[in-house]
Amino acid sequence: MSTLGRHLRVSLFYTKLSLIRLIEYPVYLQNIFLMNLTTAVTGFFVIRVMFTEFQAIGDWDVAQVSFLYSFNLMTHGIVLVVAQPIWYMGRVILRGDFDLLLVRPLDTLWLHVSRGVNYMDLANPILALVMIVYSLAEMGFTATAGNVTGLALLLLLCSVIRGALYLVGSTTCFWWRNRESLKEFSASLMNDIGRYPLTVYPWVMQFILTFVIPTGFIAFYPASAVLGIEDGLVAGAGVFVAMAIMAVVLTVGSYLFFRLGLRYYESAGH
Amino acid sequence: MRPRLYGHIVKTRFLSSLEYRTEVAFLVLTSFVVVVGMSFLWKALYGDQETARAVSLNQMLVYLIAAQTMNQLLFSDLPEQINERIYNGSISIDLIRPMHLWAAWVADDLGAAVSRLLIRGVPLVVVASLLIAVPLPASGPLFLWFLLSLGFSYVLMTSVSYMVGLTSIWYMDFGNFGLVVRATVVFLSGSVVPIWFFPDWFQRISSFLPFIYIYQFPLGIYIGKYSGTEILQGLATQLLWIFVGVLCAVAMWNLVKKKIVVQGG
Repeated sequence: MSTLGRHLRVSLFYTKLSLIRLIEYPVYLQNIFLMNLTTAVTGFFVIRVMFTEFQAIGDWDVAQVSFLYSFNLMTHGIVLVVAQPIWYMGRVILRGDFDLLLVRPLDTLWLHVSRGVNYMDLANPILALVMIVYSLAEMGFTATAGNVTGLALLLLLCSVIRGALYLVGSTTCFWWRNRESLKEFSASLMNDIGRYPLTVYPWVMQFILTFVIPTGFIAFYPASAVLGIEDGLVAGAGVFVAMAIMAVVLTVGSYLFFRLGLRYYESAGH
Repeated sequence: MRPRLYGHIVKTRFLSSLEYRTEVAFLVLTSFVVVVGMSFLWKALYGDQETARAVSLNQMLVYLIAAQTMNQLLFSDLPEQINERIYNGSISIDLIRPMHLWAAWVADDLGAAVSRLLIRGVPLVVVASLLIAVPLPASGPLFLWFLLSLGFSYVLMTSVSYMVGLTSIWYMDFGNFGLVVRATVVFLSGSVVPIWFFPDWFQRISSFLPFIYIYQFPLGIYIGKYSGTEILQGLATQLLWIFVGVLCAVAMWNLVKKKIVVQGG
C-alpha cells in the first residue's frame, strides 16, 4: 500500500511541476494550441467539404463520419495529455535519459509517464468533445445518463488500447535505436487510416487492422457500436467484449514488452 | 558563389539522412500505408460517379500519388533546424563560417529533400504503380511544365519555411510553430483534398493566397486540368509569389539578425 502511495505522490508532484512549466513557456503553449486547433478544425472541415461533393463514404453519411473523426481525435488527445512521454520515448532512449529513472526506487515506466502530464495538448480533447456533441446532435442522439456514461467508458477503453499500442511501438526503439520507428507507423494507421470507416478498405486491410494491429478498436468499432451500425468484421455486443479483453491484454502485454525492452537498454550519454 | 562548398553540405546532409535505416524503412512503409489507404477512400467517395468537378477517379488517384511524392521534396524540417541552431546557440558558429548563411541552410535542406525523394518518393511511386495506378502525367510537354512549376513550388515553400524558422529568433523556442504552418499549408494548398472540391467562396479566397501555387497548381498541370493559357498565368503568379516570398524573407532576416541572442554555443 505504501508503495502505491509513493507512486501516486510522485505522480502528483510531477503533475504540479507540469502546471508550473506550462506558465513558464507561454509561446510554446500558444503554438501547441494553434497546432491542435488548426489540425482538428481543418480535418473536420475537410470531411464536411467532401460531403458537399460526394454523398457518402461507403454507407456512412456526413454526421457519422464526423462523429468517427471526432471520436478518433478524442482518444488521441486523451493519450497525449495523460501519457505523452510514451509518444517521445524513442528520443529518450536515444539520448540515454533512462539512466536517471533506473536509479530511482520506483517503477521506471510509471516515473517516465508521470513526469510528462501534458496540459498543453488539452485543446485536442476539448475540440474533439465539441465536435462529438455537434455530430451527435446532428444525428438526433438523445443524451441520457446511461448513454453519456457508456460513451465515456468506451472512450476510456479506446484510449487505453491506443496508449498500449503507442507503448509497443515506442518500446521497439530499445532494439532499433531510432526515434520514431514503429510508433510513427502505428500512429499513422490510427490517425490517417483510422479516422475513416474501416469498410472502405479491402478485406485484407480490415483483417490486419482488426486482428493483427487492432487499430480498428480505437475508433471504428466503438463508433459503429454507438451509432448502431453493424459494419466490419466485428459487430454488436461482441465489440464491447472484444474491447474490454483487448484493453486488459494490451495493457499487460505492452507493459511486459516494455520491461523486456528495458533489459536491452544501453546508456548512450551521461 | 562557391558551388563545391554548398555541394558538400548537400552531400553531407544526404548521407546523414540515411543514418537510421530502420527509421527510414518504417517511414517508407508509413507513406505506403497512407497513400494506399487514401486511394481506397477516394474510390469509396467516387463510388459509381465517373467525374467530380471535371476530375475523373483515375486523375484523382494520380493526383494523390504525385502529391505524396511531392511531400518528400517540399516538407522540409528547415524551420526546426533553424530553431535548433538558435536554441542551442550553434548559430554563432554558422555566423563566423566563411559562407552565406541562407545558402548554407538551403543547401542543407536540399540534401535532406533529395534523400527523402530518392529513398521514400521513388519506392512510393513504384508501389503505388503496382497497387493503385501508374502515375503518368497527362502528356510529355505537360510533364516539362510540371517540372518547372515544381521547381518554383520548392523555392516558394523554402522561403515560407525560412521565414517560419526565423521567427525563432524572437521566440527562442517556437515549439510546434513549424507544424502549425505545415498543417495550414497542407489544408490550403490542396495537397490532400484539392481546393476545387471546396465551396466557391473558399476557392475565391484561396486564389488570392500563395498556398495553391505550392501543390494544387503543379499537380493540376500534371493531371492535365489546366489549359495552356491557365498554365502560363499560373506560372507568372508563382513567380510573383516567389518574388514576394524571397523579398519578405530577406527583409525579415535584416530585421531579426540584430536580435540574435547566443546562449551556450
